[in-house]
Amino acid sequence: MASITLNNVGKIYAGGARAVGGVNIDIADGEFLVLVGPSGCGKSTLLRMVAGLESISEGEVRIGDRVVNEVEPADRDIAMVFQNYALYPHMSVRQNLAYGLKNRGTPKAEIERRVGIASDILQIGPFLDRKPRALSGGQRQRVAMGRAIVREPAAFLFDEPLSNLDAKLRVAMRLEIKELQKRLRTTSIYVTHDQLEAMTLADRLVVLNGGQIEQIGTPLEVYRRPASAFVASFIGSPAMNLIEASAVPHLPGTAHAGHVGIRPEDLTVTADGPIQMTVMAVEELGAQRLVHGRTGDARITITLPSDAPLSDDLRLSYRPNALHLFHKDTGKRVD
Amino acid sequence: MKRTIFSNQLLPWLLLAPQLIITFVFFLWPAAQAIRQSFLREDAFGTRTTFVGLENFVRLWNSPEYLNSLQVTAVFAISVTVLSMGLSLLLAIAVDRMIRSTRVYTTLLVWPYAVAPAVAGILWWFIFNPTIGIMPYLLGQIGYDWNHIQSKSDAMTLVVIASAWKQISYNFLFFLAGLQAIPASLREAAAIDGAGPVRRFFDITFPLLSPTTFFLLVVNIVYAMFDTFGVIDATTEGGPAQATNIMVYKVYFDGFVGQNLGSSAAQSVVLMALVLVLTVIQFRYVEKKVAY
Repeated sequence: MASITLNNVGKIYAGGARAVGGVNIDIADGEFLVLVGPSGCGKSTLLRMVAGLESISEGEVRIGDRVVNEVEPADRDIAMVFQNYALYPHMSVRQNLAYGLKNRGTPKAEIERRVGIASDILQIGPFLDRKPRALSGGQRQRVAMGRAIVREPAAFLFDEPLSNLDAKLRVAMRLEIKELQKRLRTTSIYVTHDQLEAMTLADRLVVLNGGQIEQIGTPLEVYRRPASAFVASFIGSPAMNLIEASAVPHLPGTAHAGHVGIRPEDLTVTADGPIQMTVMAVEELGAQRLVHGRTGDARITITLPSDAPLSDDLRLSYRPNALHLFHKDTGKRVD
Repeated sequence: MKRTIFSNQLLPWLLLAPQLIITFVFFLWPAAQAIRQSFLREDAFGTRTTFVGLENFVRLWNSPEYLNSLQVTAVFAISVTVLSMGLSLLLAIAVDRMIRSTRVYTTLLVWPYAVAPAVAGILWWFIFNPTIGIMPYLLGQIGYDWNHIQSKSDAMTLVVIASAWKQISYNFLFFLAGLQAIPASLREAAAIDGAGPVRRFFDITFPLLSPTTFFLLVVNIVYAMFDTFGVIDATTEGGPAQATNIMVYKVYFDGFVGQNLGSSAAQSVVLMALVLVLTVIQFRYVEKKVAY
């Protein structure tokens, strides 16, 4: 168990291209931190720098009180779960779990004990003598996590561990990872491009874009007060409506606002609402429906209960404090 | 497996014909000829041919020269295979670790493969020529008197080096492809699991490379036993004192120089049997063990 500190961390590749810059994050002991962002935003690079698989070009990474910039991956006391699981295909599940302990000279009885505990927690006992190729995707995922657990490391690093699973299994494994982390209280960094995964798993999440941090906060903080137009559009599903400020009549905000954001669920249908919406398409989700349409030149989406009456033209209203205003040049939140 | 149904019975046979004809004319027919010949004996002037049953084979097993040739072949094939595969693997690992210029090195390393065996033989014969070669001169500096014309071990060393050198390119390409097919994340996972570079190689990389290694093992043994004729003919011609007279060279020498067709054919049949065994081993083993 340990805290992890990233102090002004940056990554510049040999060609001079910058992947990550100026990243400051303090991860508390036992915290579950999620790095989320679109592909190419530098989140995996950041994780790999913590793991020691990429060199750190700028700044320093601390695990516990130790600066680990020059420390080999094996000596950082971390365990990593890879996207493709990276199970050793020629070894049985048992050997896969034991490999890291064996390399560290752990006594046989102790290895046996820890493999036993991990396989109980993850319910992979029946497969211990199988090869990875004889396992399903979900079972492989469990073995990959088991390999991390048996080491009892200071931190778990997850690199998009669920993206190779089908949708249903992903939701189930997501919950399992969350429960497991709550139970073991091991500091974790989890990388994903899936905002839903990020929201559901994180104690705190870090939204990255173009190698820079856009916002750090709890899922609800980030959802309720997105720090920039990018975060606003990235976090939340369906995405927040972003409308050019000039298109919204008698706006209460400032003169700097370039875009106005409003969540689909914050728009309600009323007979005399100030916004006129032309409905173009409806998506039924069962409990609710997504209604897509236009207001002026802007596209907007609203969520309505599935029994709400629909017509081609709707009038919409909103609570004034449901509006998010973003700066016209920087895209940062203004207010 | 994809199946195609032909409405016309003739068409599939026509499509197969070129391959079947080539196989028959150039492989099956000569093989049958060799088997037939191995039961016959011609007199010294080639005027009379008599059926002698297994006599040719019996003579082979009683011939110290042939038994020597078996032994020489074994030593030669194992040495060529080990040397060539070992060096290729080292080169492939080195190139696999490179981030830039991989292509340039790969291209350069593949060049020797284009050199004909006899040319490769001549090349090394010059390098090791006791009178004018650079290597004997250098070896002389450290007190070794190189002479492959008189020394059996020097002659063997020469043909092994020349033959192995030619095969390095081929092995290198396969090893490199094999290495690059191993996901980087496996090695990274092993690194996090506390395995150093040497450990990683023996625990992860080498086992995952085993299908490639086994395939190359068979290919290299076959190469050393059958395709090195040109190298031997251009350098030592089987000498000195039979020291490099491998089986395939002896087939040629006894048959075409010594004009002992019956014995030569019998030796060919033995070689055919060997190829058969190697092929069976290859298929059996590849199917059962190497796939993980």
